[in-house]
Amino acid sequence: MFSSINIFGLKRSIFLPGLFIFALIVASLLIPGLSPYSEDIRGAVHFEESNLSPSFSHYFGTDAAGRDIFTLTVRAALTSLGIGFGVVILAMFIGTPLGLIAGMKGKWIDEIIMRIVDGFLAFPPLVLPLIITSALGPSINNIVIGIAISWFPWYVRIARSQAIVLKNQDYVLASRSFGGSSTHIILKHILPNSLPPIIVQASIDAGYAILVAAGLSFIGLGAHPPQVEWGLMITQARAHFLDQWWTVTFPGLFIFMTVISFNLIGDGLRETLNLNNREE
Amino acid sequence: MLKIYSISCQRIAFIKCLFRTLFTAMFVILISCSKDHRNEREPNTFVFVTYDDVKDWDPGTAFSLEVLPLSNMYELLLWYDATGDDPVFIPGLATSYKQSPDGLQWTFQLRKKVKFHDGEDFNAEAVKFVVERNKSLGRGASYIWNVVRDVRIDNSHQVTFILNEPAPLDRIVSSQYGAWMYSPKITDIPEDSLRNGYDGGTGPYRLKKWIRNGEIRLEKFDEYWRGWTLQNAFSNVNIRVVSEASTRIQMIKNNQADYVTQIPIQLLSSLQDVKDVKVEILPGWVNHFYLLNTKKYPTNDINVRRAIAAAFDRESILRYVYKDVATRPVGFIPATVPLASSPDSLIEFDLNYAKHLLNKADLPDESPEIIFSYVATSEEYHLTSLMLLDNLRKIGINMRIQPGLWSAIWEKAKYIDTAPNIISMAWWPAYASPSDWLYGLYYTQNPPLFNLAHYSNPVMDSLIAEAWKNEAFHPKNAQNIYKEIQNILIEDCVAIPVADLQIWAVYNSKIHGIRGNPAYNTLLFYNLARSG
Amino acid sequence: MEPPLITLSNISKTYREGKTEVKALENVSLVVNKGETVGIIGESGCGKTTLSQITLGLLKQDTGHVRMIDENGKKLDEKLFYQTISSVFQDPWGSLNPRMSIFNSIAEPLVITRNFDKHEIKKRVYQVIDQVQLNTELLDKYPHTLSGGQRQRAAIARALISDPTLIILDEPTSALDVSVQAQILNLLKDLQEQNNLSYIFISHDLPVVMYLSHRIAVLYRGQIIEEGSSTDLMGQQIHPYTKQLFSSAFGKNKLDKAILDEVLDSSDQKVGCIYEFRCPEKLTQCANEAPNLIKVDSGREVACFLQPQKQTETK
Ligand SMILES: Nc1ncnc2c1ncn2[C@@H]1O[C@H](COP(=O)(O)OP(=O)(O)O)[C@@H](O)[C@H]1O
Ligand SMILES: [Mg+2]
Repeated sequence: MFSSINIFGLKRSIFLPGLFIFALIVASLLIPGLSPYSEDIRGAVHFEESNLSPSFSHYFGTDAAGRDIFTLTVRAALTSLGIGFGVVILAMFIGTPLGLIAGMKGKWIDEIIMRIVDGFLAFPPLVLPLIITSALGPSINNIVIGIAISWFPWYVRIARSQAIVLKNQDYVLASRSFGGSSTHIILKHILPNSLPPIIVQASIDAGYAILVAAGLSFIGLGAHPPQVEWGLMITQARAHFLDQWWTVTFPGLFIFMTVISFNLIGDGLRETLNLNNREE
Repeated sequence: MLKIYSISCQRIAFIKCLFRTLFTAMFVILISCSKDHRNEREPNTFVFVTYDDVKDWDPGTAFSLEVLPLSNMYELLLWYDATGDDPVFIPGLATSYKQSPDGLQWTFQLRKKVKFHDGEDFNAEAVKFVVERNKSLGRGASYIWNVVRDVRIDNSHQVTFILNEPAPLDRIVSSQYGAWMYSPKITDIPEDSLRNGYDGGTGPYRLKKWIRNGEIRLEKFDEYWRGWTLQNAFSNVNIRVVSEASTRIQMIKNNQADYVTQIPIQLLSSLQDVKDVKVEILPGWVNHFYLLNTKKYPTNDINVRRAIAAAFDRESILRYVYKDVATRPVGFIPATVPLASSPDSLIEFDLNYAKHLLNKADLPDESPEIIFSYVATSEEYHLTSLMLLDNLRKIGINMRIQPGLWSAIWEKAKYIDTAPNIISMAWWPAYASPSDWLYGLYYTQNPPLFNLAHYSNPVMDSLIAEAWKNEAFHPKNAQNIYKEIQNILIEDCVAIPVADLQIWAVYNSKIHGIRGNPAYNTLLFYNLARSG
Repeated sequence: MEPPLITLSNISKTYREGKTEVKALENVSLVVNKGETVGIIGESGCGKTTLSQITLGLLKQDTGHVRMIDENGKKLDEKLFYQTISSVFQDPWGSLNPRMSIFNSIAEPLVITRNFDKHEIKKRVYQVIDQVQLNTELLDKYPHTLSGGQRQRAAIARALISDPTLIILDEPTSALDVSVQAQILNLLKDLQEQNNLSYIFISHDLPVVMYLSHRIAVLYRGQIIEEGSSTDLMGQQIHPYTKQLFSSAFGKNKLDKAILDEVLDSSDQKVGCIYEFRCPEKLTQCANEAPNLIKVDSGREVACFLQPQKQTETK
């Protein structure tokens, strides 16, 4: 369904942040083989080298346990991006079908689904992931579940509003006039056409998910050693950052750049995908 | 298809994102630097910043961080001064005391014209009341009174303690927990009020206000019997709870605090050069160690416990984490505590040996998981956990780290189901004797209070009791028994000693009167003053 | 005479949204015979699309019924109904799914019935695109790369693929350029001859309707006010509204646009003739009494008090 998107037609606004994310994934996969400090990824400590400032042997310096911050920061991208993708995929998988069904069927089905959704949305943004992860116990998987559960309502809403608009499109009416069933119409017509705004939302949310996960890890609800995750790195270094600025700056910078990148990709996708619409 | 987003929406969304991200990035910095602008520094207010709050305001049962405010609100019959080479007892609420030749009767002359903060007179009846109430409550450090059979009121200001067996009662009445003298009027106070902050002492400061997890405000007690003669003494003391170490550092650097505790030792060197900040190492009787749960799988297996001890790289931790604030432990009791002795040897760091021990354990699990709990406010524990995690990984044990607030991890550690396998522990004694460590930590307790290793050994129990009996008149015997006990602890591998700590006092250099007395893990505000 | 292919009898439809009600169709009856094109002419908003959607089964009428019968006079079951009747919509931008290739769009009716294998579908698609004179290279393309005319050809191909007997064409050319319009109209005419199709041809454009239709029904505010063969109607219009339509379409005065935009809702429940307030020839009774649709000649019906009486007199 994306064959209509021409890679070379992608806006530069997608290209650069996309390249950053791609490079980050590649680097995080390769770093265990390339870094002389790859042991640190598994939790090795070298107290004799603790709190070294950035240098040619340690690009981002070392932390209080003597671990190479460059290696850890790059590797942490894998965890953090995994969380980001995990959250949006899960939220999309829960939210989109519900939204499409609500929008297509209307009436009491719509009513019930939207009541539930509004119930979820009644919580202040960070409270639900907090409650869910503290109930399920601190771990990365639970963070993903916690954030996804509190975010899927947004996907329900987008999918629903798409379905409501799309179900009256002529091609849907035509399909119905040929005897197309609801399932056929949802799968062939409504879903493919409602995906662009959902994907735009997902790419923006992927960034925020990383941010929220970092926040939860920061307060001890997420990753735990020896896992490497940006939020956790910042927590562990937070007593030190006044004297050893590099300990929190680099993970922080990577969170920042990743979130911004996903946001730019989202914006770029929005423009690119809109090219296919009649309102050029 | 509907165009959901307009251009302006996109911009707003982007700017929002930018701000949210920036905000979150700043969040860390903000919470670390958060300044309380309401707090205008008054010259006669002393600001003490600590990392956790008081849990128990009852002077008869409090047995933890309460020592800081309570030792300023309450007084003892005698003070134990361990600053010099020969410890001496200093008169407190008792002016003098003498013991019978058999050591079974101790008579104390009580200070006259002393009033409790609630207006009651301090007298013989109050002393009898305190001892009997603490004994009957049976919580906290009440065990210190176990040897006392009766308190006899000789006259309004003289009491005689009648003991079951000879014991060094002067050390007991100068205990830093469980020996505070408080007003008998406490029985009129409803439970609720006790829980929300109570003060019935005779000390120089009285409780003015308590904001839970925020601040304890003390004000000077005008009718304090010693009087207020010190120039520039503090009429108010604010004890503030700040859990972030970096915030505490900021506060001392910015002159928002006069004294801060629990500064990560690795960061002390950077504070030494800061103007107006003084870092002083004072003698202390505090040690850090890790208790190994003897009842919970897989540390219920002695070989697993020994393997963990052998995987514990104490030397690195001492050298790089505790630096010169701590000394190498000789046993389970700080070396400078009177009558302290040491076991024959400690289990030393040896990964091969650890691996060998683990194989001997023959566990059903290929790679067993153990849980390590520590007080999150301590950077030293945190770094130690990373060291142990790494070493245990090398011998094939998965360690799961659970940092938490002391109150939370303590509560969990009391019950086998929720207890971790390893828990961080810092100990300072109620009274200065090895038996305090041993009785508090390794004597059979059901349910456990501080015996978080869930260790129970009848031989150990009787040895601890016997050593204690010998302390008063056969100190050499006592010392030998303490050695024997510690050999058993090594043998059973109940705990891993890490460091004998000194007190690292970080305070404003204008403050005078800070003196280290290892017998009391507190700061006596009455002696302090601010210069210029 | 063969029975009619499809019969609509007394169809009424009112849209309700909250409190507002829009009476879109009232008591509309229509028959279409085999091989015949019935044109439906009316201003925008008069209910043409509503009628086509009810005929297609996309919309449920409030009253009345749609009946389709096979050669033996039996009512068609649902599946056969969908294969027998088909449609082309007004807007070739909206009637093709932008995320579906032209091939898949054209093949969709066959895929839905599931009776065909891949090979058969492909064969059939090539047949119909040949009929609508569409280049095979376009099959892999997506709608947004096609021109309006190409898209409408694709939509017609889709309508043809299940080999229907009746195609409902709802303004199939009104969104197209004039030059393309002519091509499409000719194509439709050719297809009708080749395949012996029946059309319901809906438009607001009278010359276009006249060009294609054998019979024409004039729809005004949800009611048929005049019906007759195109030649009869061209020769003589009875209803004043029809007259106005013809005169504005073939050169003379334009229709008053402002009046066209008015919406008929239930609040202005008129007792009299619905055309009364615009009628240049109204009688006094028109305000109080609504004229019925009356047969005035063979194949000629009209709802007006004026001429019908004369016509019946002469009869
Ligand atoms: N779904 C709907 N809800 C409410 N009113 C509608 C709806 N569809 C059409 N209408 C109204 O019904 C009338 C007839 O509409 P329609 O059949 O589309 O007319 P036409 O196709 O002749 O332009 C119009 O007044 C229109 O506004
Ligand atoms: Mg229409």
